[in-house]
Amino acid sequence: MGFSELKGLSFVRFLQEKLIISLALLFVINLSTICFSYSQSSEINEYGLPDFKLTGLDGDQIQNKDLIGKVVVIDFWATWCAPCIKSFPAMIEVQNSFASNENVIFLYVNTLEFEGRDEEFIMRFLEKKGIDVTVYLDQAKSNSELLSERLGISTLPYKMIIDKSGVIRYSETGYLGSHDEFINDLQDKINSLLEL
Amino acid sequence: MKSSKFIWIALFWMGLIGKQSQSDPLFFELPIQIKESFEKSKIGELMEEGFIAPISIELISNSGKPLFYESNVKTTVCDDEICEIMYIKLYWDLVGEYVGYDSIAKHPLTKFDHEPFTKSDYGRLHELLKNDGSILKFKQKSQLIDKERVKASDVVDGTTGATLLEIKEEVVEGALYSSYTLWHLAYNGSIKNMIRANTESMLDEQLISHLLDSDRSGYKLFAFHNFKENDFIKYKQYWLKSLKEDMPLTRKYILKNIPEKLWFNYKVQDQVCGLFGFYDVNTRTYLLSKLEETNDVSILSLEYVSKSLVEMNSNQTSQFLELLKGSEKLTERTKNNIMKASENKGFKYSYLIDEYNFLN
Repeated sequence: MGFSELKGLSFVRFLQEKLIISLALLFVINLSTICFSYSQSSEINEYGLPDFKLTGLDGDQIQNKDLIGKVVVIDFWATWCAPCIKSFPAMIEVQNSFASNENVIFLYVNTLEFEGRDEEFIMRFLEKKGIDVTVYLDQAKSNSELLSERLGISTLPYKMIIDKSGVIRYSETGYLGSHDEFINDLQDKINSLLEL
Repeated sequence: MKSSKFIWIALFWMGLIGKQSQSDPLFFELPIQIKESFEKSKIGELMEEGFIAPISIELISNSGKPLFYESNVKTTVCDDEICEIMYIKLYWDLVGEYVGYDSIAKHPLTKFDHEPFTKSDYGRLHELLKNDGSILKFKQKSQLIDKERVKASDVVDGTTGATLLEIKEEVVEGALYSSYTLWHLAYNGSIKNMIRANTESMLDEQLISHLLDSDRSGYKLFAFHNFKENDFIKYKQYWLKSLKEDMPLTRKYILKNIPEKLWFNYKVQDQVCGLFGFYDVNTRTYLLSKLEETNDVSILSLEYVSKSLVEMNSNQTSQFLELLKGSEKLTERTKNNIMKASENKGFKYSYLIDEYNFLN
């Protein structure tokens, strides 16, 4: 178990690698007419994340520039996702262990939520579960895609760690293994990025 | 692992796995070539547990002629460790029977651990979705796995390892919850009711003829269910054909619902009884009971039934012999058939005939 390492690969390079492998495959089997309609395009900035601006349940707003120079742990979750809720205590424990370090930020991003589950619902939900964290809302505005969709996320929980230069270094889907394993693994990853 | 995932995704992009073109669904059982020009009209919306947003059920028509129904579904699938959003398009025929599905661009179906479906997984899924009698029908989500085996499992795919044996045959390996969720969507009662109500609201002479002309037994039964009294006269050749060829359920429905004024017509009785040799055992018993309840049975009908006397079981033989006993007159051919049955050493109920005195 543990976060899979992206080894300093920016999201752009990640997509480039996917494209190169696909092109190589196409060449090998000699198909001349190929449709790339399923390929994903996403506007990626220098930080490895698409441009975004999220609003928290407390009204606070956060965007890419606020993350510069910080190690950021983003936890994409939804109220319907039981494993997401199950992972909260471990996440909060890790967050508390870095409470005195202002260079580490934890973002709990509510995404892919059921229609009708609005801010009020989510606040009541968190209160009922006894979860005290600042949650940011990834909600579609007009025709724009969700941040999670732009990142190609369709599996929850989805956690990622971004280094101080904005590069996505680690990502993890699901909540597998034990509580302690998860905590140790996440703390190790954060510490390794703080040392860079 | 990662590179094999890329290969699958690349193959999906290339169309080697998954759909072949934008208009052809992966699986579609109806003899219809789907065209971009078909009209779509929303007949209703449904919100169920697990749906991210309400789904729309749409009727697809061609120049006003209803063809089938479809819905784009975006639903959640969870196990204890991970949740996933599944995107799929489902198709139903005009009476709400599942007829196929399609994947959605950019959203291939995936198994546990986000591994994309293989071509054979897609085929397997369609086969299991076609099975309306699947054991999944009777299972709650919590009954799909052996919890004790999950606890004991030290392999990554604990869920697959612990899937109950009786369930394993009914799901795509490694996609237990997706298979379960999709089967229950394909056979969702609310969707079926919505579709049937909509088709019923559109029923006119043209649509009834279309349903009756179809090879789909569900279409014919649906049309019979919606017959007005005069329709049994108007469409006599259709229901006679169904009596001969269709499933027992349809046959029984027809026999049960033939209007009395039609049934008391000797010609109709003769046509129905003339098909006795084609009927299954249950339809035969049902018809014999119907004849028993009929005061005035045509002697020609009795003659037709007598041809199959040697194929009857004990109860049917007794029922039929009682019918003959109550008849004022029997044709020579009927008597001849009875005599042959009586002398037939392979007919183990011939002794029952001897208890009656038909041949003198």
